[in-house]
Amino acid sequence: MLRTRKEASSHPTGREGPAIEARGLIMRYGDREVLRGIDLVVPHGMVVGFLGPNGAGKTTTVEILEGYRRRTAGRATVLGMDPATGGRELRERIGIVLQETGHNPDLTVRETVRQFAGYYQRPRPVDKVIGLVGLQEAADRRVRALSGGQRRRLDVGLALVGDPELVFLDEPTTGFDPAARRQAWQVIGGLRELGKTILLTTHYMDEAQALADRVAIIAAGRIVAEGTPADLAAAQRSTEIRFTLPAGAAPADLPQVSGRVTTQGHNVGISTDDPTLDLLALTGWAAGRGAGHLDGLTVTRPSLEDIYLTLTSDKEVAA
Amino acid sequence: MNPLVLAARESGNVLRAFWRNRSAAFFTLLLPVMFLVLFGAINRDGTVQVTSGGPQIGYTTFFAPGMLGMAIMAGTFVALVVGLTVMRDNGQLKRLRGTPLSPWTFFSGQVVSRLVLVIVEAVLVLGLGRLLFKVSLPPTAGGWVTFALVALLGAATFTALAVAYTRLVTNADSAPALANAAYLPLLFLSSAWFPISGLPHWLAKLAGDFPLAPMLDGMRQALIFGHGVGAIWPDIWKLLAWLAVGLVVSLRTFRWERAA
Repeated sequence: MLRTRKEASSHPTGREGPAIEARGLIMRYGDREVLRGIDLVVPHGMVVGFLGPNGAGKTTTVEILEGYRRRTAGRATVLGMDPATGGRELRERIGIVLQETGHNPDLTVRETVRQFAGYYQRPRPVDKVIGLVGLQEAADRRVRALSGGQRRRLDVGLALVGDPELVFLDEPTTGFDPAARRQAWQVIGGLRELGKTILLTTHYMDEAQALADRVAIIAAGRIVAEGTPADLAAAQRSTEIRFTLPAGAAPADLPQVSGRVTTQGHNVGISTDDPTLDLLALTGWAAGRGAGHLDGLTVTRPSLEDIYLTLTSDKEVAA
Repeated sequence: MNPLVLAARESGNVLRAFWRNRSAAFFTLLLPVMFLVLFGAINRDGTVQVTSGGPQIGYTTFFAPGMLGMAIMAGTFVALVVGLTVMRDNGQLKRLRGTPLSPWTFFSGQVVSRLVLVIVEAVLVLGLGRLLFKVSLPPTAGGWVTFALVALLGAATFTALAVAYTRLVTNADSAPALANAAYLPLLFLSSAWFPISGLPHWLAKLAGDFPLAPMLDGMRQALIFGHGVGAIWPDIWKLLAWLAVGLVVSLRTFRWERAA
């Protein structure tokens, strides 16, 4: 699904190829195969959400791309370089927001940003960075005195101070209250406007929906789905119809429907791609039996959250 | 950019953070000075013999380099074992690793900033010792050079050993205990506070091979007797050997991330 949207790679930057391209990434720790052939493409200028349950291989994949880990096998290119050997040159051009990172509590926000600015050849102005992550008011406060949300924004600021082309965000809002999450989302939305390419790792489907142009879902070391949030919803179109069998009717008496029928005692579930037609058949059948209505009738479309859970739980069992 | 400029800037970063943390600054710089004043006042007119049959020297003259040695080991070894494991466990090292900052620059910053603190401490201890207790200072320029060489070599050695030692510290919570497990016994066995004569021979010899004893001996030989480098080669060799061990082990085993 992802690779059909070619227009993204012709983003007007003059750069060849996507920002990130991974093919058949494999990672083994001893006998344990953590990644079983990951394919991932992040075009320039896009925000790609990378979702998956804990232990699925998200962080391992991202850390291979960031240059922290050496892959066992497969190909990886980040900004045209191999992340395993890109070294300094690559780190000049990427920004990394890790999960839960400490700071020196005794330095102020401005001092911390200035220190990191000194590590890059062409840093962004310190005050611009502080403004970008909305910490102007707290600029002269010590890191010790910041709230959790403010520290997280400082993390983002430190990842941006080198003016990177590509930003890795690893679970930027885990553990946030709703207000802090919205603020963080605004900051990330601001990055998109700057034209940054972002690989956003997250547990939360709603976060991916709010921020990402495209989504890749990983489970048990494989990519199980990939595309725009709308693509993903469309790929799993089936609607769930549920009701209770009318008195005196057996499952065998049910009319012909296009969907898959499952029964459990008197409870019937029909998973269908054509709910309108099936409902017509069912209600007609019920009327014909003189029942007039179907008890406990519900018709639901799965949310992206459900799709995510279905995709990832299947694979968990398969693993 | 010039790597020396980067290293100097990184040292500045470390020092800025150091001065901000009052309690760390206090323990590193003022505690040895406080001990010097207290014990010097109590034992103002006492004398000790550094070696059996050697000349009697003023206790404060013996004690001042001891406190400086204590400050050097606390400020380099203990402070770094704790500081680096905290930075490793809370992800600061990993974050630095994700920036263009080179490991070389990072460690130069750590070493140089510690050396600066050693110089500050030496001025404090020797200055106050001279002022209050008339502790002896090197009579010759050669003595000063030797003293400075031993103090800085010792500081570099303990810095390298601290980096190597972090491999044994599985988490930051246990770092102070594990650092002290090496620091406190050495402090007592290496005659930092007073000459130890009652030790079993094998234990005295063993303690003498660890880096604190040769550093203290070298500093005292230079400060008290004005000996040149030529007179203290055994001390220099021992420190250089420990420095080499520290560097090799650090390079091979240092971890930027906490164990999973």
